[in-house]
Amino acid sequence: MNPSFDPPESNTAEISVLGTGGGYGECSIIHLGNNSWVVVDSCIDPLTHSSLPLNYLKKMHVDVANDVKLIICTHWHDDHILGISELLENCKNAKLSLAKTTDRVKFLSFVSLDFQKLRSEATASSTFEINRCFDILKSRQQDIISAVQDRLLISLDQGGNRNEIISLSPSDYIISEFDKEISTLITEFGDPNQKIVFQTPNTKSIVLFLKLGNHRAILGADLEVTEDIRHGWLNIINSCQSIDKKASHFKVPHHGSENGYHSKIWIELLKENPLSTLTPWNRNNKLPTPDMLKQLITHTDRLFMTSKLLKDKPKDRKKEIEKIISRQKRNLREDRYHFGLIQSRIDFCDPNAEWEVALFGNAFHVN
Amino acid sequence: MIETTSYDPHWILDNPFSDVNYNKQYSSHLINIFNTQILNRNQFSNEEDSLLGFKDEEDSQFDIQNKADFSSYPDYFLPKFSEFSSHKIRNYIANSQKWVGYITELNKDFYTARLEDITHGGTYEVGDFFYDEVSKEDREYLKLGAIFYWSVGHSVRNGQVIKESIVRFQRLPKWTEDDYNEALDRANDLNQTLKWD
Amino acid sequence: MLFKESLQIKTMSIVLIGDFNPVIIQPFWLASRKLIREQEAQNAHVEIIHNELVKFELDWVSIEITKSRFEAKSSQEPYFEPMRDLCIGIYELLRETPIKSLGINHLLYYAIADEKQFYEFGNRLTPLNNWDEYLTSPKVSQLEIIEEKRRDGQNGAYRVRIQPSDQPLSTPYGILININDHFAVDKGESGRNREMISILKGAWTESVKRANEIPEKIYNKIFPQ
Repeated sequence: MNPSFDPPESNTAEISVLGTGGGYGECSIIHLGNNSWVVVDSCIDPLTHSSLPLNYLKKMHVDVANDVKLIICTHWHDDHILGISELLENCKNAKLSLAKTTDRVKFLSFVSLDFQKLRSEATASSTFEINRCFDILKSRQQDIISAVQDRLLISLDQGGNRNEIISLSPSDYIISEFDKEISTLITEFGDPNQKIVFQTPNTKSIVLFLKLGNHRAILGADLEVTEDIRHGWLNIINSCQSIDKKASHFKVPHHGSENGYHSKIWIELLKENPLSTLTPWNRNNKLPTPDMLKQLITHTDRLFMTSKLLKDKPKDRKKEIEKIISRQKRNLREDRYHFGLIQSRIDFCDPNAEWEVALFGNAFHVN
Repeated sequence: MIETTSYDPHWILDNPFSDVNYNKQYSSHLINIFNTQILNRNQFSNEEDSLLGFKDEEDSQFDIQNKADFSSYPDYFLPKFSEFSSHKIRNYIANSQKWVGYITELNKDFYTARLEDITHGGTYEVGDFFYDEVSKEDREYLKLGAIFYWSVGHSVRNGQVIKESIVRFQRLPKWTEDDYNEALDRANDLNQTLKWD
Repeated sequence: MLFKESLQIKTMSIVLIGDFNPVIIQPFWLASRKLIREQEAQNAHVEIIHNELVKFELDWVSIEITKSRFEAKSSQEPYFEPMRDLCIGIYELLRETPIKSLGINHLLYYAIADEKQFYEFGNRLTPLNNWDEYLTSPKVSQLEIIEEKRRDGQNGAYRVRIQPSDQPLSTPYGILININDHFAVDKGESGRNREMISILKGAWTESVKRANEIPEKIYNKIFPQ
């Protein structure tokens, strides 16, 4: 399929995965049919600070104010939700979904405390974004949908087909652990000139299960596999009630890492040779590793990545500045921005339809 | 009978401006106070080694060329407040490359930080900084998440050009009860007003 | 050529107008609150400490405080953000201080290459042929342009003043562009709610960005490439 910004037909579902190379977030943009859109997470162009999902939707002339029904924040990690407040501001009819917290006051206390730190540039960008979202929702008197295992987040009747998005995580166990983590974060809040460094954001990731006519898709967020079956992928495999069919479309979790991989996922949750998408991670330990890539392509010959892994290199600068920096042996490397979009569409009214893929920017077919 | 209407003077005339230039009007009270200070002559001489002061109590205006008649004054002098600073800027650093960073890893000999380019914006960077570059008094700030400023460029000190790299940790006062209360008030307000489904 | 390549000195100053008690703010007080290093306090050059006036210099910043005005000034670019933090820190600690207005001032000193361009700079900003008939060989001595209603909706103003440089630069044709980014509380407000300090935190980045852009853009307008 040739890349095109033509909007999908009303009976065409779309899952577009947008990546930035790793450092500036990622997101998925979903068309559930009949001009109903959902955006999962957010990301920005670091050069212009513009919201990338918003740019994409506007290029397709989507009426973002009315047609974006839901924005899901899969996990609350610095850089994964950059630009989400701008997205919410523009999508005036969209609800917001976050992972459930049992102690809301405590959660809100934590984000408010971190909001105070904004004054000193110490806050994680994610708390700024979340706080802005709360201000917007407060003024709109709009609901926040709490995501928890087997929760129906959105359901739309599309001409005889019920198209739905269901959260498969976080588990009850993780929800209670998150509350404990917030308590710790509050007590160890630190000085106003100290950013909070989150320890385990991925365990709280929201994995999504999409029902598009007869077709199914799983968006794996950053959820990892753990030995403890009270959470992680094994918990989903063992405990979820909502998975009625195997999925033909899979967003590979956690940048194709070993921690996000288990053969059971491919065997029990996915059809053979599913269309698979992956966003790389180019910071510090690069993901996916060559070994993991080899492992993944044993499961599918339709693996697509939003961009390649990039070699570390310093930013281009004026010569005299470069000279001073290089003398200090800083090992300075740029968190490079590498845009890529994997657009996949399917006729959800046709049970025998196949996914069609178009690639934008640096996205490529791995196999 | 001539009707008079009151009018508000233009705000420009009414507002004390927050610009660098000093307000030239000093109360005579303040001038008297300054006049009674015993100050070291050398602290207030300019580069031509001439001494400036008030001509008399009524005239508190200066220009750079103005010189006072000191014959009637005792041997003390006054701080110089002039419209333009005739104090030559001897030490300056311009056109430097600046970052703000926060510590992401603490290793054995160095720490790693994520850096935001505050000169040009755009993409972030990651860099390593050795502990022995950190001033002794800043060592207590070496913690995960600690914010610091880094800059690289040329400074001019008394005419001498020097290549410099400066690392300085951010210093802000600790949280007070008021800060916590403000945040918790916000949290309570959000809790009352946000609707969770 | 980019105008910023002629930029030689940059000074920033933060000015607060309000009701102050100058004697509180002394180098050792700042060090005791860890707003500066102890060593910096020990090396401070103190000009005067008096109920009505305090004036001292550290290596990187100079501070002057009277009963109605506080000013911190630095010509060392790496220390502009630490200077901002210092001002925020002082008035977070002295949070009862009423502050009615704030000025974030940017003084940009450009060394123009030659006399012709120096003259043309003023001439193109305000055409001098309007004055030929009335003044012999007129020149621009000082030009001030003001934005009375701030574009960000905040109370205050924005002033750009252009004048010959008062600092010696590498050429005798120096220009100073003095930008006063002025914020004020609403009329009748006491300034006790720390509005100005909140603005100092929130408006800093945009203030710096705007002050860097305006001279460049004006220069490109009057000397199109």
